[in-house]
Amino acid sequence: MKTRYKGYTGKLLDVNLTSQTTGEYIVSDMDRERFLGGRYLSTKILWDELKPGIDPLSPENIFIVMTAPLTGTRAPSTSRYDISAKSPITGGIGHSNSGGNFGIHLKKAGWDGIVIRGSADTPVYIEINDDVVQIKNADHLWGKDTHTSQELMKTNDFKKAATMVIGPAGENLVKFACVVCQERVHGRTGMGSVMGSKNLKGLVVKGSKKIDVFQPEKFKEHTKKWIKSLQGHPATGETVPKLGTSMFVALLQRANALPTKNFSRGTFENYNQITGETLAKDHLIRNYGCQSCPIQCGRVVKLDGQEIKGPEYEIMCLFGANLLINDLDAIIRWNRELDLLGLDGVSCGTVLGFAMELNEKGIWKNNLEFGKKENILDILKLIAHREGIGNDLAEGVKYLSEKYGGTDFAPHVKGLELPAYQPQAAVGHALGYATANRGACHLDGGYMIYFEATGPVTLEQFHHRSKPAWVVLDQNLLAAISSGGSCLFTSWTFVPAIAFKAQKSKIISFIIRKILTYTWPSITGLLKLPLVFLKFHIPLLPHSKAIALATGMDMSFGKLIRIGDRGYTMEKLFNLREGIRKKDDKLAKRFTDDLLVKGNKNSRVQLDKMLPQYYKIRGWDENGVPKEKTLKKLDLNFVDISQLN
Amino acid sequence: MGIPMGSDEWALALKDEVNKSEGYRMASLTWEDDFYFIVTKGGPITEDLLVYVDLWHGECRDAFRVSDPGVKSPTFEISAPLDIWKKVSNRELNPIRGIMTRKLKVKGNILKLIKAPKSAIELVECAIRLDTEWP
Ligand code: SF4
Repeated sequence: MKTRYKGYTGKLLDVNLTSQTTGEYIVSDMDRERFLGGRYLSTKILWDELKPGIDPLSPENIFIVMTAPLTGTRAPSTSRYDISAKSPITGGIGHSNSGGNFGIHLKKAGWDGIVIRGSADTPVYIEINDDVVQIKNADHLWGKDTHTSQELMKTNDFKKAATMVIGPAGENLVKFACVVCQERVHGRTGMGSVMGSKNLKGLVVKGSKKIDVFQPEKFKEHTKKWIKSLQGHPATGETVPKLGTSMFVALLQRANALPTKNFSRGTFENYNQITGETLAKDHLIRNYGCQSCPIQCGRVVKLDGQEIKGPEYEIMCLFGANLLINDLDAIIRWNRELDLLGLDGVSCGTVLGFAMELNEKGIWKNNLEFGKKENILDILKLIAHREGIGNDLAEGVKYLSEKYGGTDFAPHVKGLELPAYQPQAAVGHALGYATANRGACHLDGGYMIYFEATGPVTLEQFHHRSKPAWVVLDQNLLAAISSGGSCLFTSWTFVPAIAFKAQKSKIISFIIRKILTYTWPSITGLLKLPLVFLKFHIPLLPHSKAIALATGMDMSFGKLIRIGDRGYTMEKLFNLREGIRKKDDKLAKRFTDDLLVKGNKNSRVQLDKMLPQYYKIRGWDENGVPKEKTLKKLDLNFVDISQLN
Repeated sequence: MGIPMGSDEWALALKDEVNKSEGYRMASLTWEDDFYFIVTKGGPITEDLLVYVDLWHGECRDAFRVSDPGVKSPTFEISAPLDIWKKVSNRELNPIRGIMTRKLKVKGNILKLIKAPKSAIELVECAIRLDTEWP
């Protein structure tokens, strides 16, 4: 018996590319109970297997593909799976989640995940057909774009298989190279370059097995209700299917939170030419999305007579407002090229904005100019092939700022480039950036922008004291949802539909804002409540019940949040062991010193005020190191904290 | 008659050529690592042929043929079959492109090499200037 829990296959594939051998990696049920799956279970494996201080692009690094208990079940939006390794961008924990179909097929093939070690001598790909695993020559795929390579990997019996690949950017070890599965992308933390360093072009998997759940009938009933609630919710049932994530362009512009001209301000005068509404009006053919998802947030658009994948919000902002470009056609084209080359569009757009400011200030003459779009397509190719200035750009914002200057306005945290939300406009969101374990990330950071600017009811944007508790709650909540295998967008139903009605009344909105802002001590209290008081499921968060019904685990709302807290802390421990410290939980001076709104002294990110409170709520000491009693509470006391100090 | 590729004499000639090259010096002022350049077994090469080269701040401090790979533990090992090395020396294959396409296999931090393209090209140019006799 590999595991006593359903929802899992109980088996992990262990592949050594150096010796070209395969085997099984054993995970204990205790670790399944502690971390569930996805990136947190992977972090535990990386903790166990990696020597601290190794070069992330050396054969010593380990690349992990991991599903979660709900992956591939009937639960909605659960095609998500994670890839993890030590990040070549931050030197800390690296991971990226995507909704392509690889996770589902992997599980159907009988594997919960894959642990990949070593490095092949020549380019290879891994082919999995249920239990038959082969390491195959990939000379014919090397140098090919992500679309062509995926097509070429689907040979004979594998026509309907799932694939994940890197593009030229990953092969050439561009720091922010991504991994592509169908048209979904594992963008962040440079996982594509880790694959490239292993000479691993991709993986193809085909599975024929069934994924069993613990209580099939009850699970079916529960997921039916869950799907209905997603479809009936104003966000997941209406706005997101209609506009996709590009709806955020207009919302963030209104909140002064749309990063413009290398994050130097929060509004763009030509924003209306690059909104989700404009995309829907001029280009949209239909929406699409990941397998098993009723939300379908992706877009198919028409350009030059062709139907192609439309851009997400991040690309529209970072290649639009952030570069002072208002040409939506060009942005759609670049979005396609980014995917084909295998570049993370978030990091790439932020790198270009920073390089443009360096050029404008005469710090680094590079011919990149705000508002100039003619050379962008060529630059993307130069980056992916590390040619000319592309070789420098391929290293990312941190490297450029250290080589040429501009650290005061370099938009990154721990080396990872900022995503498309202006930090000063949502100071909790900014605290999330500073503390996120994988570097500047809106999702790892807790996605506070929803509670500060874009959601139906929000806290006061510039209020600092209320934010740390909310950030911790949101980080734990999103971590918990992810560890079960659900898309984070399913967390939108956490804000009840009635709140969307309330936003129509100014007075009610005002009252709710005050309540949310000033009742933060109750959030702190909730986070500290012993588990015995939280042994229930709540309808707003159907995930915990779904996990219980799928696996047979003793699960509750409180337990799930605790798993999020534990996973988050495990990643923190990994980072500490790699030497990432309090000094790295920071933002560039532009965000901590410059006011976003003239005359409003709170419109800068007062990290010095928020960080100590954040650490305290998490049970960490003043240096951001988890205390022993915190580790005990989280069942992480196998870690000897004195060795990390 | 040229100098047999990979011989001690060839290694010494390479060292002299590198130390004469202003182009190499300027491109490699901060470089501090050593290499094994390896022609892998195959065709006329009956066993792996290794040349050790120690490059330091734009200078070649040492270069010699090695028969036992355990003699040194250089930061980098670059290996390829003879035909690939010939392509590099005919300027048909840019050394960095060769690394990126994995035609030249690297043991060591590839990124460090990729970030020093001028240095790699100047080094190859030094080798090209030698009157090499290929096996
Ligand atoms: S909401 Fe979007 S990203 Fe999430 S599972 Fe559905 S289609 Fe995929």
